[in-house]
Amino acid sequence: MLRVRTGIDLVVIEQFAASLQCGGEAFRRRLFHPPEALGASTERLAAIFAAKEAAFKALELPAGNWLVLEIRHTAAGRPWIRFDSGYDSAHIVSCDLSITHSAGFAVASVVALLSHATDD
Amino acid sequence: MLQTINQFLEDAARRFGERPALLFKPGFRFRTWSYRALHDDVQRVATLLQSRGIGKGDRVVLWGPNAPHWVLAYFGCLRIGAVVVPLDLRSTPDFVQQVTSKTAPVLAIVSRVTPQDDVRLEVPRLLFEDLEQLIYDLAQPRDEFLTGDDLAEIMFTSGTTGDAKGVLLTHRNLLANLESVQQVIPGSASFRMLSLLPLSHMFEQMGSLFIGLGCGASITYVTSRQPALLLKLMRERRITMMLLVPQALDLFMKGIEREVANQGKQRLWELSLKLAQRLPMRLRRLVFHKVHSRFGGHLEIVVSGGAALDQHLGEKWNLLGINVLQGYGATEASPVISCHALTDARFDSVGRPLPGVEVRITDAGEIQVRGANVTRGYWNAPEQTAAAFEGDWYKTGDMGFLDDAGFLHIRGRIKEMIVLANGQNVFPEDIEGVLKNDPALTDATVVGLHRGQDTQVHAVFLLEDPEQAPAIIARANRELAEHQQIRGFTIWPEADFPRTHTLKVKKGVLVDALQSGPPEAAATAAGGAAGRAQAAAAADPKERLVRLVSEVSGVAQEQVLPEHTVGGDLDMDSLKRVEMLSIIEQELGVYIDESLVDSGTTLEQLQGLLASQEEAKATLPPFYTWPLSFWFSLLREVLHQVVVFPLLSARYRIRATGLEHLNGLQGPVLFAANHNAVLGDSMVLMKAAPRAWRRHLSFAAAAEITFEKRLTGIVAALVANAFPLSRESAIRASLEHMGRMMDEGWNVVIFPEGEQRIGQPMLPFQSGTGMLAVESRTPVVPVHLVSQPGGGVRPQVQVRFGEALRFAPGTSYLDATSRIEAAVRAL
Repeated sequence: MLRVRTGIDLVVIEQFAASLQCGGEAFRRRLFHPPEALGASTERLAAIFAAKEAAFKALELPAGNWLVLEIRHTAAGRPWIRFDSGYDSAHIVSCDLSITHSAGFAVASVVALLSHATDD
Repeated sequence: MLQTINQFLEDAARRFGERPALLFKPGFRFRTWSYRALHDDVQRVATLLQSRGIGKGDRVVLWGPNAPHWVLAYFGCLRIGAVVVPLDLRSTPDFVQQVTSKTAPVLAIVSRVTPQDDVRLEVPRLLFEDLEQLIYDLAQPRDEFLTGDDLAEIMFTSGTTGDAKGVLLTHRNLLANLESVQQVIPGSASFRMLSLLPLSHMFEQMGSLFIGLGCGASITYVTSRQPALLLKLMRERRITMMLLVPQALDLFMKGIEREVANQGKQRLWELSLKLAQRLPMRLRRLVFHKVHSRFGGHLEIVVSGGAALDQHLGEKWNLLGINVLQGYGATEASPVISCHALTDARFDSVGRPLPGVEVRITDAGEIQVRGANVTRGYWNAPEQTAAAFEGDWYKTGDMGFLDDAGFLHIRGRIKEMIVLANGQNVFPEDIEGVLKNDPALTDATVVGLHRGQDTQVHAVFLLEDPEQAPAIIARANRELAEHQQIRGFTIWPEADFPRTHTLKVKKGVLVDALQSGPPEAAATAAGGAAGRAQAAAAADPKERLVRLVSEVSGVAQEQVLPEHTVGGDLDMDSLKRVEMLSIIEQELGVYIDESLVDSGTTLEQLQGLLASQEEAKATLPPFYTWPLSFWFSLLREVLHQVVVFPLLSARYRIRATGLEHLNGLQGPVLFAANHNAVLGDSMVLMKAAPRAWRRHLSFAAAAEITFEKRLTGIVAALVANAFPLSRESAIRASLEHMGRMMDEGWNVVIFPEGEQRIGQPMLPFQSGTGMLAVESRTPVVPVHLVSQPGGGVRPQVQVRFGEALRFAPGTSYLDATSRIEAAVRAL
């Protein structure tokens, strides 16, 4: 049976910037793959963080598996989610992601079509 | 004679080639730039800058902490004639604004930790952290014709918000000063230096970067200032030399003496110091070997600068067997004017003027300097330039004298600038400007008061209601930079300050009155960050955790209770949780997996996790160094030939293919092999590897299985040169084991499936594989072991070596994992 799941997350960029500053290199390493961080502004990193949080919710992944996901962008600039090969993503039929940041906030939303869900 | 810094770098690369030049340890392995690699990467940075349209004369701001990338950016700019404008990491937004508007830079290279959010930097930015990825496949830059008179950098006098002056320093200025210093401190390729003071100041730039690279030394940069980690780095790198400000020497000495007192050994300590006076340096080191082992055991030379060193403090360090060299300088002199040689170290003077640097004392007692090292003036400030020179003599603004033996002595600053013990300059006018805006005050003036080694920024008030003073200071301190903070105050007892006929405050009179008064007259306002850091380092782990949690959550320490949940009572969302775990990792050196901490985790549980991780770290099987020794390597080879390989041959027919892929490969190399073919696959692989490789092969073995029992651990270490890699706990310590193995030139075999399941399909590779490959920056050779039962008693085992994979810095860990897995499967 197919089920639709959604996940949304909002990040206050100022708070994210403060955490990035205090957490330093270890913080960056825990959250982001190198290509995600390459040349990324604080706003963009906040948005990637929001995208991962939203994905955890939609895909019912336990939080904290930041590096199981990598947020990528198509040539046209559309974001998409790539999964670690060690993560069993067979139940994800389709999944879409949208990100925005403006006025001090970063927001991401994930919609996923799953072939089974762990609960109703 | 070298004309430009580029020639200096080329010369160093030619002379010192593959010797290590720059090191740092951002993850589990030391990253090392040889002199050759440094030179080559600098060329690529220059190409990157040119590709962005940057050329000769353009200003580039460098604003970040010390790191090899700072050095690459610095030399990269100079390579194409761009002018570096270094900024101190702690510069205030005002100061940064002022510098950028004065110099109109075309690019700012900043770090992720640069506090740039409050600054409107209207210039394109690059991140130091991205530099390596951006230059990875770039070619040589176009040549730029440069001479010694071309500008190398504009060094702004730090600390003022009122009047920032940019000192112009040419390639010739820097090289002239380097050559002078080298005649007094020749340096040696055996120097292993630690760089702690900011490269945005001339003292560290000349004293460590230029002196170090000029003599073939290695310079290690730090990624954390946490005391325990600094000392660990000093041990690992066997640091022999570093530059410090007197304040740090004072803090370290106080720490040592406190420990002596705690152990009740003051008498022995005093006696030892007395005895040391009659001993040569080598024996002093023996007497105080415990102190030395604390600093890594190899520290020989400390260069003190940036502020005056107390004579007794210098002498005491010397008695411990550490040469403390003191010098004197000014940014305008690039910067060294005088310095002690190792042979004439004394602490009542700042040394003889350097060869090539002329010093004269005017009738008024001012020290003036000239030489090829002296600046030609200030950036776009002809009036300030004119005021700073008398003919071609630079007026230092310091009073002093030369004694009969030619040693220079400093009496004090002419200007009223306050020089803090850590070398930072504070201009009283800046603070007075802020104070005078406060309506509660009648008038205020600011002076520097000496308190032992320390110089305090001290405010003197004319104030009707004395009770308002603390509030006034709190308001002012909010607007002031860290180093400008007012640390003490006095209410002046008379109706007005003593003044000159032009109504200027006679600060000398004020200072004399305050210094001679009882210390209580100058109530101190704050304890200082250094003290806090020390207290934090000394506190027990529980207290440290509570302090960290309190800092991250914003909940007061006394309100943080063991039963509080992270998500509920402490209100920490996932972002704050990652921040907290990152800080724990950096400050306490303990890695806690985030999947173990959720919003319902209590502080008590967190303490338990911390303790278990620390315990795991402590119980992680030891990193044996004996299997790496020549004799054990030899014994291992004999064991292989006599026992192991004959046994293997009796069981399997082993055939290696693809060995040609190993030709021309430079170690260390990571071998990634499947773990599902045969029992004893590590020995099969060992036998299949060519002898030259076999002798430098080591195996990452599961700490929880192979090393669970001491005996199996020792056998594995002896026979397979195995070392423990923990999957479940102490991940960071495990990775450090592996990094150390590679740093010592050993090739490492890993089995990325994580568990052995003979005869089963290959498991997906663990995602850590890609991280290891990318972060260790080594080529990865895929290896596929295939068991072919076929006919006969002995099955054939094929060991297929594939072509090495290389990963550009910044490759996605996921990409790297899939590429390695695909390469192993494809063989």
